[in-house]
Amino acid sequence: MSPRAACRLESLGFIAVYDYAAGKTDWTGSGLPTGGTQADMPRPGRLARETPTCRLTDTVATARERAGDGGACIVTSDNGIVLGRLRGKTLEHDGALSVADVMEAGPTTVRYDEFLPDLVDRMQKAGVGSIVVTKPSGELVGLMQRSDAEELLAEVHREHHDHDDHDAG
Amino acid sequence: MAEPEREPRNRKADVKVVIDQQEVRRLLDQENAQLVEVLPHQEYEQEHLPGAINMPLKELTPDAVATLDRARPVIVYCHDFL
Repeated sequence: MSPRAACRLESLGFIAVYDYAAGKTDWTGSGLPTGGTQADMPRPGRLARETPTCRLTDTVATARERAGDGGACIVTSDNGIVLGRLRGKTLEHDGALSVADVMEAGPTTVRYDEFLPDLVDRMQKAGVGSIVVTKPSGELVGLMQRSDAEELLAEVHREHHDHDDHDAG
Repeated sequence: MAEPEREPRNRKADVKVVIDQQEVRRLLDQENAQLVEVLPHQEYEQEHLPGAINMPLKELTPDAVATLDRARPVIVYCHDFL
């Protein structure tokens, strides 16, 4: 639509017309603020927690140290693009090995603005406890815990239910 | 003989100037650009970029766009590339 709109405006005599072709999806996917009735809806990006990171050239020992009790370390490029992950057995490798040699390449990620109820449903069915959240560019936002999302959705449901009860009463 | 002056690229009616997020923010911050969402009203009401006005594509008539300032850049957007 926006290319056609840009052309239309130019045909109507506007000179400085620009097409933000990546659009609203790009904006919300990057976690930028918005307006409107759904602007405050819960999203994976808002629940994502900061997570330990390392580079391809780091050692497994470094990744293990950074992962700590959290149990996971995300591998990123110098500008934060997600490349891989170390967790569980991959963190138990010889500490001298490089991260690049043992990492789980191309982990599953979700967008900042993914529809949370559907995502939680998929995570529950797959038995997944956490998931990497990224911006459209692939830049790491953080790690979202399924338990955080479940708690938030339960709270939203309770508030909605209380509101309905209040209206009915 | 001097070469004829070339018309700036973004001044031709058949050339779209596609910009990225960074350029959107620059135009808004530094050039007082106008932001226009061209999706239907309901979608705009649900969520839109801060400061954006709504002019659905079907409603881009001469009368409707008269509210835009021709002296300022105009940025149009919809969902995404598709």
